Amino acid sequence: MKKLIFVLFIVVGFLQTFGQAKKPTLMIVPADIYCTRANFTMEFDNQGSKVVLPDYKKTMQNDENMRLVITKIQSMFVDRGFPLKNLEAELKKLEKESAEMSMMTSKSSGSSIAESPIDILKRTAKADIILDIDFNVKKNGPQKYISFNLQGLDAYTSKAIANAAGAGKPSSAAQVEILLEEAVLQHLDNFQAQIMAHFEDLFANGREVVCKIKVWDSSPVNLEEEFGDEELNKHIDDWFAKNTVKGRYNQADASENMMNFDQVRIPLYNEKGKALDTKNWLNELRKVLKGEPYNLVSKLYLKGLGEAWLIIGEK
Amino acid sequence: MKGKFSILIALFFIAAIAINGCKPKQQAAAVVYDYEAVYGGTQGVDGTTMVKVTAKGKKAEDAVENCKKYAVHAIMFRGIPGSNMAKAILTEPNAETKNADYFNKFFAPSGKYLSFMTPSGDGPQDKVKTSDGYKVTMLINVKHKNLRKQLEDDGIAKKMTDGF
Repeated sequence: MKKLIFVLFIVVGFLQTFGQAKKPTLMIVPADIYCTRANFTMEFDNQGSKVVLPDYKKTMQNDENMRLVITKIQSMFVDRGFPLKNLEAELKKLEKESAEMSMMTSKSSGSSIAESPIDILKRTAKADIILDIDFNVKKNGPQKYISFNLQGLDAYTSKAIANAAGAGKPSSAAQVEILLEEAVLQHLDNFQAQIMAHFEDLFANGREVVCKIKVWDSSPVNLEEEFGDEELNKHIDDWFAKNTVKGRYNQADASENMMNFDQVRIPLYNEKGKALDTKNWLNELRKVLKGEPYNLVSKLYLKGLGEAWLIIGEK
Repeated sequence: MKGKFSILIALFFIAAIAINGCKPKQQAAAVVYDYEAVYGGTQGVDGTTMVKVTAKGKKAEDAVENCKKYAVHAIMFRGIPGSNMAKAILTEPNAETKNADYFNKFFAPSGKYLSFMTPSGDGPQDKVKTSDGYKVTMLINVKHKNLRKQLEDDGIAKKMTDGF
């Protein structure tokens, strides 16, 4: 009898743990415009072309106003049960990762896919929502005021899901720190209400991601190869229709060598109750293609957080 | 003859009671709150919202008490445009009727609502005698953070973490 109770206790505990969706994680980062204005930038060589990117490390090390605003926002999210991922901690974690992580290479052919440091940060931090913060201390005669702009971006799709913006009341007496705190207090409750509405949408309609199907140059087949009466691309399209939430997805582009799917709504967790991410979800298609009648080897690759590529033909 | 008549009367009453019992029960009419609430115009301390409320009462004291009650009510159900609480805490359309018992107790005289607001120390900003009593305008500071926490703990408002 005791054994039975013990087993029941374990089973109930297991179901409770895996029956819940993964709690989204949030991370606050300085906006590109803020970093550019303050000259906290770096150059990234994207396969020959130079790209200017925000340098978060430099910002966090040199800008005490930004640190103050981030800390205040963090404390308000902690109050609502959502501790934010700390940008500085994530940057340090990223530094420890070897440089080889910034480049994915096919084991057999050496084909490569470049990923920017921002994409790497997103992939490493795995924050579901990025809070993009910009503010500016402006002057109107002897008075100072704060223009404030906070955007909540879905890290999977880069779509804005919440925003709060406005200018504070001008003051000639108040310190900049106090004006900044007022700006955060003025906007954050409404911002959190919008984030909550986004969570409700996630539960109802699934998480939105992007999936790309590609074919290696060395692949023996392309997407027009016929299996049964239908081409491979039709089999893949059918798989998407069957496995997305309420059949919601859009085939944005297609050719014999690639298929691009956007607005793909994937469930938050699978039928076993385990939390799903883009890679885990698309891995099911990889397994299908590995089996009969296809017998295709393919490489699964996660770009950023909300974009997964399945490249058919080799590992 | 008299006995038959009595039986008929009795049957008539039984049938009337039975038919009445079968009628769908009417929902209590929705309470119409006659008040105005706008942003008080100043940002208070963390977790509070200043609300400028105008409410009526037969006596001036009743109108003042109504102002206190309706300031909390506005933060819960209406939201205050232009403030840090532009969106109400409870966004579900029928939240008030669904939890009628809870809110009847909450807004009862000397109810819980009193612990989530502080009237401005200056007293009423405006007091007007009307044909049916008084109309009073007051600034009330509502502790929306504590109020939301209370509603979440009582299972009335959804927590941000619900479902995860």
